[in-house]
Amino acid sequence: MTSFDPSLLLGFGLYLALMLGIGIVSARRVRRLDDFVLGGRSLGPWVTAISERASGESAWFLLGLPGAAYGAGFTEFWSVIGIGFGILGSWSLIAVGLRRMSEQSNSLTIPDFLAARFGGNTPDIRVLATVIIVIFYTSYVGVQLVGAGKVLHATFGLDPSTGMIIGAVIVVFYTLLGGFLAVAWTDLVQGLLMAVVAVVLPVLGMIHMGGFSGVTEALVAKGQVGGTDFLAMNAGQTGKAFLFGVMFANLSWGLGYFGQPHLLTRYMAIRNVRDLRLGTLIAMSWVLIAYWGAVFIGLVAVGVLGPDVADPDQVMPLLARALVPGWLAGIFISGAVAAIMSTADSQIMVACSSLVEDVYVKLLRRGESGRPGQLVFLARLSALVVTAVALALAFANQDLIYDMVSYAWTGLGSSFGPPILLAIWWSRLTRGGVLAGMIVGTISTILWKHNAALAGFLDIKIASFVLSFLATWLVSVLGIGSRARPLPSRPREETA
Amino acid sequence: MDVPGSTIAIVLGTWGLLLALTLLRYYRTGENQ
Repeated sequence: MTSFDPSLLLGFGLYLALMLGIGIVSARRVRRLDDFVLGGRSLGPWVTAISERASGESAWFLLGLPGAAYGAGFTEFWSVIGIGFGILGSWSLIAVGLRRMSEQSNSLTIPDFLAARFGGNTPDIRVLATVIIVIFYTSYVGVQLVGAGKVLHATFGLDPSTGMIIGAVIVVFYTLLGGFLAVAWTDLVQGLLMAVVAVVLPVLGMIHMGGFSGVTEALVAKGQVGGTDFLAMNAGQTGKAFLFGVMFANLSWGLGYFGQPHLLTRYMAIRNVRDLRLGTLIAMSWVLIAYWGAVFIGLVAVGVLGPDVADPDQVMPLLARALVPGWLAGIFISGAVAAIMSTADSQIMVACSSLVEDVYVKLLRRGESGRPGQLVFLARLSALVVTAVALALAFANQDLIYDMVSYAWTGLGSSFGPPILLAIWWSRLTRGGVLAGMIVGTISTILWKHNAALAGFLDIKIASFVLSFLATWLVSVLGIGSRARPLPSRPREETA
Repeated sequence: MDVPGSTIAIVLGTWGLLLALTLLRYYRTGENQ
């Protein structure tokens, strides 16, 4: 850490004030459970698209990805390319169907949607889906808080524990007050901030280096030390090792986007199906600008900061402090905090929505909803409990939650992705198929994590997704469990 | 030393392909969805 610059605090303070302000304003619009859980399905295309993107990208986006590009060069583009296609695939194949079917069946959550495809009275699907969500997301939120602690430690010299508590207090404050609307609107601001950082820093860095040739010279020099070509995209591998170990392994990050409930709920919350058209364009523009830029943050950093930064995850904050005045660097570094917060808030929302809607309303009360105010109170209480448990996990055992979270992206993507895709597109899907897909997706993720031979045979992200897909398909074809409700008919152009 | 042609082709080519697919989807979906 370099010396602390108090003007950094000014930028960070501005960011904090804006987040808390949005929480207070949106609190006035929360009256019923669907206001709290889905913002009363009132989001416009801009908020939907940018908040989906901000929630989708956690600390990894502005810290991990630039750090990886700093350490590997252009090879890192493979994961970005896979992610780009995954996001386009999710918006194209899931958004319209999920939005329409979830409104028809009045579903508020992903377990709710899957259950409703079979008439709603399917406690097995609801319970299994909720268990997967609560376990993965509590640890996922815990890791985001650990990340917030690290950023605040590296930037302001705060004790990491204090940073974790500050992160938890901020996020729980606006989530608790404003629910989904506050989460979506703070995510809009945070998503725009993330994109600005991902564009401005690489451009300033290139100007600083006197053009792109300055950057490539630095990359060549760094590659020569480690013996790999930083300008090529094969990471020093050829043949099968390159194809499966580098290319497909990184491209397959995109598969996870089909099954992340904290992102899919955004599609359910947009005010009408028509707006998903513009939403897709906005979300993909964000991807094409911010994702390609984030890799360049790491590449440019090799030139500006030199080849020997001790902790590559810190290249973005270090680059900001090297290139712009303190107060602006404070705002840019808030971009990293924003990436963390915008993910954590959406994950808290998904977990607390499932606890209230799926467990309390649908299972315990058998669909008889109580007084609107009482349900909102319960949702707020669950948000508080989820955050408190996540914080406790973060304090108790960081290694444990890191293990949990290393399952989360692949586990959620392969447990929910294939069943959701088939629930939208395939009329022969059965209740047994959905259960099989969720179980096989979770178990194969765990098996692959613990078995080096399996992992060497095929990348975990591809294997668990394909196995879950096959399980969902096969069990459905065998006719185990009741058939899904007929797919709603829709005008031809809507399926395009 | 310059960036190899294959790297430029992959990085810019996939960028262009994603942009083209996004625009194609936007214009093919039509106003009246």
